[in-house]
Amino acid sequence: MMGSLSVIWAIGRKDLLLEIRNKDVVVAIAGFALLVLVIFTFAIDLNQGNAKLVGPGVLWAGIAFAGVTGLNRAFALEVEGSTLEALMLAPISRDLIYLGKALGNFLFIAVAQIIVIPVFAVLFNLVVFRWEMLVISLLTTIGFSAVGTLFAAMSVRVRAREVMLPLMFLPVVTPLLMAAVESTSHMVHGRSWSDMAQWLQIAVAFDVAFVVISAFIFQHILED
Amino acid sequence: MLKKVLDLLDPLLILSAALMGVALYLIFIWVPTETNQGAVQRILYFHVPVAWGSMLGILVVSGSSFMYLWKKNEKWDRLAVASAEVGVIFGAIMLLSGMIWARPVWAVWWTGEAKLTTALILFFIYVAYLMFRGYFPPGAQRQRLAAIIGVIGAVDTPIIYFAANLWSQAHPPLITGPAADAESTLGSDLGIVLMASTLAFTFLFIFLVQTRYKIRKSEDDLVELKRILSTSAMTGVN
Amino acid sequence: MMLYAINTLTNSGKGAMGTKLALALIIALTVSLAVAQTSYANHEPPISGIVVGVETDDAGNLTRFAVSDSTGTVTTFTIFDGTEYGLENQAGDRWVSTQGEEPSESVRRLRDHRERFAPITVTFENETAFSVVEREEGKLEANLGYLFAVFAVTWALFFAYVLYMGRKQRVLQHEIAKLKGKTG
Repeated sequence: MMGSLSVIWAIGRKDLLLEIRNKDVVVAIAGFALLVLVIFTFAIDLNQGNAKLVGPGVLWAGIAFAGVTGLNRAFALEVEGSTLEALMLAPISRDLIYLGKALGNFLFIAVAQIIVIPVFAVLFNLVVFRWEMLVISLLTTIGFSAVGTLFAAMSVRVRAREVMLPLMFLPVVTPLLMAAVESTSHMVHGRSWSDMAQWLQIAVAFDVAFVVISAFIFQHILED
Repeated sequence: MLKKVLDLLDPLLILSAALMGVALYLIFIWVPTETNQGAVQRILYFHVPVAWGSMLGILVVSGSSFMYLWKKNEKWDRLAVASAEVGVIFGAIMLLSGMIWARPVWAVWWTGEAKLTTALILFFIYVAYLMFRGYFPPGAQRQRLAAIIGVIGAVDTPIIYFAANLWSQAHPPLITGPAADAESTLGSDLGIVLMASTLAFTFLFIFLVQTRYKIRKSEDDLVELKRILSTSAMTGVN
Repeated sequence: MMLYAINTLTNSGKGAMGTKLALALIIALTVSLAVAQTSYANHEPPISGIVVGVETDDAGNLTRFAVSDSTGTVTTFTIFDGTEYGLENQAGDRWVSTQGEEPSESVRRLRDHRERFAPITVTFENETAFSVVEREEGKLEANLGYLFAVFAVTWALFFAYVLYMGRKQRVLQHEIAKLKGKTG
């Protein structure tokens, strides 16, 4: 058990070190998401009422689109360096490779959110620094990186990868996106945990289902 | 041998055409016009069977995708492609006919009702499935990866439905048309016509899938044959 | 071995199948279009007008009613348990039922329409009324366009798909012919 965890961490850490050096992925995600937020502040007349109404949707749609861009970038780096092939040569089980890659992507999207969410709070003038936000954000990011890592690995060899990844990723994460938007909406309206409990349950179910299934199925992507 | 199989299949075509004729007779002549909705209510006799067909398509795609990942037998992959294509066609008809019906009856083209949302998202997932196949270089890897999308879609379906259901409770669907909550005045007649029509469209579905399956098989055989030819040409053995 | 393989391919790829398929769909479409057209011609056209007479039996249940159309012609209709109603009161609330379900309410509704001179539309055969509904400028036919749209979309998409399969098959045949030429 300890061995598997250290393998996962080793793969995740490798991606993280690379990222700290060139900051490709996090900058892509955060930059894209911030632009989406800014453009929406022009597109929608933001008075207090409709900021609460549309804010959560804009935030999560922005993060979802930006996440796709980041995942594309992350796996483009993988292709350029042929590092996936190298990983496959290593004597480690495929599900650990998957979990390691997913951990890396999770960290990228999480770090990008640390930048994006405060800016969102400022632009939309909403209170978001609450425990609820942390839970919602964690659950959503787990789901995004679980599905995103799987699909990004799949679309490495596909023609028109930049188009194919969002076309697969976005419909599949729709329920998670709904859960994130709705519970954030409950939060900005100052409602309690029990109001968003059902949505958080859906998010948890999504995360558990896709982390398990993806780890299990990942071997079929890498085998030749 | 294949020719014999081909001849055996023709009754299926005849059967589905005959059933379609019976269904059309029932839809347009036998069943009385529903008094609340008028003529548009007859759309239901197309919409429901076609929706059933598209659900059948999704079931077959995910089932055979799973079987392909497990057994790695080509025939499951062919079945998956064939039913994905036919399922997407049925899905498109389902969405369009639903919208055309909703406009006069609900007074909107589209609404956030749970079944509608689920159907739309699933439609997108299976369109992505087909596009992925189109963009990926042919071979065993394409079949494996496509099968993964098929399985993912199946896993996602219940979650999408629960989320869409919860979502539509939070945002009540906008249904304001003249017959929004009037009950049907047709009773059991409706069930009979729906049954006949569903049977007809199911046979059409099976027939189209089978035809597509055979074409797919011929394509695979052709690729294999070309491979044999090129290797024998290279080694000089013929 | 190779020649055998080519032969099986040729058999499976007989172009006749695509043509047969298209033919069957054309027949189905023609039949259904003919069916769709006759379906409205088959019934006697519905009559619209105002209620001029309502007749009841001793129990107060409706037996017959008479309608005067725009030319002043009066037609008398009998009813049966399956006669369907969709009638509104002055406030616009619609009452939807059948004669069998609420045998006395229909009397009240028709008398109300007679007093208000509110027009109704009756579909019938052999003087027996099948449905008695509020007259809404040809509501039954007005939405026929939507029905047509669904029908057209359904078959257009099926045709497009059959066309697509037919094209695939033609490409296949072409390839086989080329291979045959090569192996001689």
